Amino acid sequence: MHKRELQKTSNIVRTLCQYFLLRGGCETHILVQPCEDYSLIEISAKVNVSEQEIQEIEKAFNQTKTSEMEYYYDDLISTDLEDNELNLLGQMIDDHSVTFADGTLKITVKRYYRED
Amino acid sequence: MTLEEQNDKPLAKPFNYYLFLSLSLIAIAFILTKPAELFAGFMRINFGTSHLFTDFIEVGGFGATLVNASLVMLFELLIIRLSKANITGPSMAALLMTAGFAFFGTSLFNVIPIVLGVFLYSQIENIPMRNLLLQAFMGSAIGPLINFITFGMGLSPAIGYLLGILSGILIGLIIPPLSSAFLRFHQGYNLYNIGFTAGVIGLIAVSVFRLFGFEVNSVWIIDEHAHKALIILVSTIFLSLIVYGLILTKGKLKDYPKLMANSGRLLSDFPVLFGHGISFLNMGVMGFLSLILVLILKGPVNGPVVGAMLTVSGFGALGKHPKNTIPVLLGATLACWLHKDLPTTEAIVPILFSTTIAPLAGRYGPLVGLLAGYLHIAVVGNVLPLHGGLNLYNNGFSGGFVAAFLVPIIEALRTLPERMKSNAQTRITKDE
Repeated sequence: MHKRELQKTSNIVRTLCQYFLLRGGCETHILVQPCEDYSLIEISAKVNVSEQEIQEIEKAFNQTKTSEMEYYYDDLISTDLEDNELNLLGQMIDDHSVTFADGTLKITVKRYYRED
Repeated sequence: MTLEEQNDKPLAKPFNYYLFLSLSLIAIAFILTKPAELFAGFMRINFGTSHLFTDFIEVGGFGATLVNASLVMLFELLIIRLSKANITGPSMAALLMTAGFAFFGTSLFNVIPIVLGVFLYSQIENIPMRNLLLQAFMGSAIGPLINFITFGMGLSPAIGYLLGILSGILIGLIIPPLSSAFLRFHQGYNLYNIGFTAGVIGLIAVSVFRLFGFEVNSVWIIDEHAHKALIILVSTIFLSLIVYGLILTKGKLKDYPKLMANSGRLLSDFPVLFGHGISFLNMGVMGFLSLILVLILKGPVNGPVVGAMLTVSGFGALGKHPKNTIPVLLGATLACWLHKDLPTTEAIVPILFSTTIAPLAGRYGPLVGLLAGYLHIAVVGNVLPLHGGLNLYNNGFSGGFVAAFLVPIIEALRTLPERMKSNAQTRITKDE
């Protein structure tokens, strides 16, 4: 696997972790699974999030992907704790699932390694 | 969802607009100017020094400048097509920005070696060229360095061309890793990030030149006659952007308030977030906003001012909108009104380019925007001698420092009440 892809996986983990910590997540569980052609990251904790925030996550993760720009701007991820972080993250992931039940938010994201 | 899934012809909309714009500029040039004059002017523009401020309208004439801007855009469109890249916010901004700078510093001669260098980098690092287009196009910010080595150092033509072109290729090789590294310096609050990168390259290059006894100083070659023609030209471009935006959105503007609520911090790729139609519309609005400001201030309209207006318009696809730019523009205008001769090119150009730090107003509010614009004017004049005008995006260089200076201070002040309440410290001490 390209070293840069490991770095990207690490950046995704850091951003998700920050997101949970900022929303009061205590006992945050993180699973990082680097596979042959993709990385899978699963993170969950009891957090204080509103329905609107869940929708914002979904919207950011569902946005149109452009690998050209993600390559350049991914260095910006987790430089700011709040502004546009989800949009940047949305550019970096290919698949996701977001569930919120009994006060527990669980986010699973998958990133396929790029061709380079 | 990929762009391909979103649209049957993902390249078509913006690609066709820029192609139409490029061909229109060439057509206007041939209507207004005789081919022989165009050729002579084009040669003067491309094969001479071009560092700040060299107004190509004064050097080669109005028609030849249009041909230069058009050929720069056509060359970039060719690279986009060959690399099969999507055209979203950053590339839409880069195309209009480089076309704007083709009025004062960017030429086909200094664009090609840098693009070649970036292409070599993509081959060496095994990265698709389409991932590096922004660096390739905006890397032309430091293009005048190529012209200076080739034509400004008194070298023999053969040595001059060889060293000039090699230096361009070298710039292309180093600009991608450098620009990524410098993004973190200002945390994405300086929209002309490659201007900051080019400023650092220019600073190093000029320092080395000075070590060998070569002096590089900024110049002042400005046209004073094409005022009305340029106003008509830019008004037509901005109007076409608005009309095209309205056609694409079919008049539905419900997403425009959402776009204006975005801070603009990188990466605010407006076409991806809000669609191409709204982005084209915003580009036109931003263009007219800058033109109206220039006219209200009774400023001159020449090559550098047109370049600044087209850049502001281009970044209407990548981070700029009226809500985050107006406070910065007001702060910069206030600084020029208090400390400089306001209706001059020296004042108007940095006022317009101060919008490179518009995301500060978008994120932290209009007061911070005012302060940022004011500070930008203070800093921008002082960084120009560092690179002797070899970095065309001097305001991007200055904006990087202003953003990097302001963001940590504002963040510390913003969270101060909360930290005082919880008695939290900014740093963990050794005892803990």
